[in-house]
This record gives sequence, C-alpha cells and structure tokens, in this order.
Amino acid sequence: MIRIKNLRAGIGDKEILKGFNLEVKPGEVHAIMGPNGSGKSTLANVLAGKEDYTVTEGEVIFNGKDLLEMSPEDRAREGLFLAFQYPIEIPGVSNINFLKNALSEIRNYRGLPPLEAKDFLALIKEKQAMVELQGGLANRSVNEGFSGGEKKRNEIFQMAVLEPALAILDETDSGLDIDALRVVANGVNKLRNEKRSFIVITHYQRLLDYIIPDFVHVMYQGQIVKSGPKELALELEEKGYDWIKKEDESIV
Amino acid sequence: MSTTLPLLSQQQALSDAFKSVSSLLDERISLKTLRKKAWDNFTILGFPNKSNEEYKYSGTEKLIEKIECWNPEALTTVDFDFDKVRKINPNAYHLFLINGKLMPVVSDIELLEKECSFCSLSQAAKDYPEMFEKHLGQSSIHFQDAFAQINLALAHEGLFIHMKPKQKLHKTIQINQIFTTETPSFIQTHHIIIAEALSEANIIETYWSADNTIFYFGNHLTEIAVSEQAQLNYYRLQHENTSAVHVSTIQATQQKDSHFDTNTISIGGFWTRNNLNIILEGKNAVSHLNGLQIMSHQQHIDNHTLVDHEVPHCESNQLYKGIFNQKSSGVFNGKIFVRKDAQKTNAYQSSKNMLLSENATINTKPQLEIYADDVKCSHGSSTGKIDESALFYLQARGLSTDSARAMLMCAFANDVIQTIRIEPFKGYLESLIEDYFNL
Repeated sequence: MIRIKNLRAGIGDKEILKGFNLEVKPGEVHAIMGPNGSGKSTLANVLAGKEDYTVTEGEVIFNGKDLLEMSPEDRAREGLFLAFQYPIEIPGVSNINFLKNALSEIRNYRGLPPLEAKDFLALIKEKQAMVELQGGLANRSVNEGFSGGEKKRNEIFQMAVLEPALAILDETDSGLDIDALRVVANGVNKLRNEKRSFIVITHYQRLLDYIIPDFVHVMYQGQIVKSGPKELALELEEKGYDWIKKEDESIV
Repeated sequence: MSTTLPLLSQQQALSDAFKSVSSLLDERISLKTLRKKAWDNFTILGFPNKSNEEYKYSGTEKLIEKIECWNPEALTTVDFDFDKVRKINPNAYHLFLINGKLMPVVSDIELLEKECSFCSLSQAAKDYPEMFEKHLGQSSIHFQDAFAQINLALAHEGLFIHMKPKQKLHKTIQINQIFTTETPSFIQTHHIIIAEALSEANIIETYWSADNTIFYFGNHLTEIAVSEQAQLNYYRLQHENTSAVHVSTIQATQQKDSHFDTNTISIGGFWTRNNLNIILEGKNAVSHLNGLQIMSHQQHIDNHTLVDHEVPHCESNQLYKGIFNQKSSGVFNGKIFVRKDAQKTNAYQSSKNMLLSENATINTKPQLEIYADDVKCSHGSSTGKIDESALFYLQARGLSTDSARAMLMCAFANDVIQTIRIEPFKGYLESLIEDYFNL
C-alpha cells in the first residue's frame, strides 16, 4: 500500500522527520504513538502534501507511484485520506456540496462518471448514520460552529463517503469524550477491510482499545524507535514515554 | 487645483449641451431654475480629480477626456438578447431602457400600469407635475457631488415609479438598462421612485452594454423616497462591459418605521463609482446597505456610502465585500453621521476584502461622526488573502486548486448574496458567481 523510506522533512531549516521508515500493507492498521514533538503530525501533513513542509530526502511509494511528486488533490484521488487533527471551519462552503464536488473529481480522475443525485444522497444518508452525524450538520457549512467532537465525527463521515485506500487519522481521539470516541472508532472499524489500510496517530493508548491495531510504532525525534504488536501500546500506557527516550539515547 | 486644458474644453462642450437641453425641454420655470442651480453648482465643483478628498483614489480627468458626445441622441432599437435578461427573473415586470429611454415594445408596461403609476421621467414632468417637482433634486440638498449635479442639470431620460399608499406590488419590477453608442458618449439616466406610506415593493435594476468593448460614460441618479411604514427592496447588478464607466448616485430618504434594503452587486465596468446616500428622517427606520464587488484585470471600483441618522431609534447595517484579482483596485468609504438628537441609534458597518494578487489594491475608510451619546455604532474592515489552510483542506479531499479556490470565493461572496430576498435573482447571482470562478 505505502512504503516510506528514509524520509527527511521539516519546516524551513528545522528538520523534523529524520529518516523515517514504514511499510503498510493492504488491510493493515498501524498505530503510531509518541511524545509531543516527535514528528507524528508532521508525518501526516507531509504525506497529505501540505506545502509548508519541505522534503529533503527519501521516498514514499503509494500504490506503486511516487507520492511526493503528486499534488495534494492527486494524492486524495489516488486514495489517500487525512483526518485532520484540527479540522478547520470554512464558513459559506456547504459540507455536502463540497463532498459532492470532491467525490466527482475523484471519480473523474479514475475515469468514472459522477454519481447520480439520488445515489449520492443515498450514500450520504448511509454514511451519516454510520458515524451518527446529525442530518443538520452535514448540510451546514464545513465545520462551522461544530463542537470538537462533531468536527472529528465529520472527518470520519468524509472518510466514509470518499472511501480511501489509505486513511491517516491524526490524533482523531484528541478532545473526544468516551461516547464520541466510541462512535468514531466504530466508524473506522466498519470501514476496515482486507484492502483498506489505516495509519492511526495517537498520543494515548485509549483509542487503541477500540481500534485494534496490527502494529504499534513508537516515534521519537523524527524516527520510529520501537515497533511491536498491539501489546506495545499497553506497555507505553503503563510506563510512559520516558523509558523509550532513555533507551533511544543509550543507543546513540 | 488646476484644471487642464482638455478638461476646460470638455466643460465647454458640456456647457453647450446644457444650453441646448435647456432650450429643448419644455419644463416649468421652477424646474428650469432647479436645473440652472445644479448647473451652477457643477461649475463651482468642476470634474472631480484626485485632489478632491472624495475622489482621492478615483480621479476622473482621463475618463472625461475620452468623451466625444455629451448629449447623445435618443435611440429606439438595439441588438440585444432580451430573453437572457428576462430569464434572470421570469416572474417580474421587466422594463427595458436603452440609454435611459423606455422601450415600450419589449417592456411589460400594461401589466405594470395596472399595479402602480409609472412612466418615463419626461412624461412624469407633464402628468405628475406636483409630485415630480417635489421629489426632483430634493434629496441632493444634502449632497454636493459634481456628477449628481450634472445629472440634475441635464438628465431627462429615466423612469418615474410611484407606489400609492398601502399598495403592495405582486411582482418584482426589474429595470434593465442597456447602453449603446457609436461615439464615446456621456449617457445619463435619472429615476424617481416614490413609495408612499405602507406600500411594499421589490425593485431590481440591471445594467448591460449592448457591445462588449465600446467605451461610454454613464452617469446615473436615482432619487428614492420611502414613506412611513413602507418597505422597499432595491437591488442592483452592474454587468456592463469592461470598457464602460459607470457613476451612479442613489439618494434615499426614509420616514418613520420604514424599511429600505439595497444591494449593489458590481461585476462589470472598467471604472465604477457608486454613491449611496441614505437619510433617516423618521424614527424607527431601518436600512440595510449591502454590496459585493468582484473585480479583475484593470477594473476599478469606488463605493461611497453615507448614512445620516437624523432622528432617534433608527438602525442601519452595512456589509460590503470585495474580491480583487490581477491589477484591479477598489475603494470603500463609509460615512455614518449620528446627529445630536439621534439617540438609541444602531449603526453598523463592515467592509471585507480579499486580494487574490500582489498587484490588487483596496483602500477602505470608515468615517463615523457621532454627536449623540446613547448609541451603538461599530465599524470594521478587513483585507486578506485566500485562506491557505482552508485551500489545503479542500485539496486534501480531492478538489483541484482551481475549484477549491472558486469554492472559497463563492463562500466569501455568499453572505452578501444571502441578504437578497428575491429567490430567482438570488439564484441567478449564485450561479453567476460560480460561473465567474469557473466552478
């Protein structure tokens, strides 16, 4: 699905990703954990194509194509989806309208005609129910006046509509109460299948009680310093990140 | 202030036009006096240049110099797609004007005549002399602007619309002004709109050029009287070609408990100046002034608004938005006067602009003069670029840069469009803006 090799990237002169490596196969769920400032969100943004970051070294192959050469929209059209850590409010742009256009452009890229209006509405209705997003929210301006939980739910709703091949969830659990967390996790679990992959970025183990990962990676100072099965997350929860930091420094 | 030689000769040409118009028009002596007075005012003021504070960013000399004909002959036909304009609002009384002159054959005159008194301006001078004289030029006492004075002195084409007390128009009146000329001409139109007590009406005015490239200088004046408890919505769309010059002045007075909504949408024109002056003369009057400008290439637009709160308990609310691309430029100057007696005034003003290019400019200037002490007044202005993080958000969902930008532009324009209360016209504007940005 995606192969990230020796990725180095940062903002201006500041290098944040310092030789990051990861391979995700179809159907796998990888959790990336790590302390604040370890580069988790940078990774998500670099993969989605945010211009503020400069890639200085390395390669990312996504479905056999060079991801870093693509515009952000082409990455989305190839099947990459980023659920933003801080979904922004876009007053005046209707959630539904923009999703409809996005879906049409994605389908057009793949040589498919746009969905018929009634099929699109049926799709919206189905996915809305899946993430328990109230009807009114889908018809409002993108994220405008949404609570923190509603914004995150809206991200999962968009993901459900666009049906990406690889979804990156950037701290989707932050700011969620337990009920919202369960709804979001349920949405993700319903979308899990043998073809679709996820990279779940989180600071806490809590989300991984609901979205069970195949692999857990610990990120520190722009690299993966430890990888393991899902139990690693529990270990991190118990011991915190300090032992990873010490371990990493002793290696150096 | 020095007047250049070409301008002096233009002033002479205008003077000749004034003399010939005065001798031709068969008007009552009081009207002739009023026109002469306006002319005298103009000769004192002269054509405004940049040393005039009100025209600081919008000098007119170079545009005036291009005019070759100051009093063009009236036309009766024009090659124009009338249906295209009718489709904007199929269920309206459409009045088509060519260079200000009503075109009876293509207009819905008989239908409208059943609902209210209306006629050409020159006809009104004969048919409704008292009312005509009462309203002509009366509101301009407060406002000394060279173009309004030239208009009062010379203009004799345009419409007179009178809504009787308690009259509620069933349909919108849509005035469609078409301009055409072979030589670079100065074209003037003048409307008088009177909404008597408790009357209600929607009026749309649209401006078009018959030819896509020809230069002309339009100078328009609309005098509006909104009486007690009357409600008038007056929306304008300026969609002329990008060689045209458009100066328009709206002078409105409002009486007790009246509502007056205006919306000024400007997309066309090479150089546009909109003066909107509203005088709140009666308590509890409410006024909404909204505007949207979308400019590109070398287009220039200057919106001057003036709201004069003379009495207590009135409300005025302004929202002007502009999108400026390439080398286009804009000005927003919003004056609010709150007189000493105008306690409990609510007056709000907001100007928001988006610059899409390094070479686009906007100058905004709020001017609040408040002499009462128990009022709520606020003003705000902001100028920004496109929100990069919003753009990225949309792109990350698969939208191309162009369609993401277009979507954000439409969203920016949207809150002005949403203030329009005539559904088909609102829908037309929404799709016009989407088309403009190729969405």
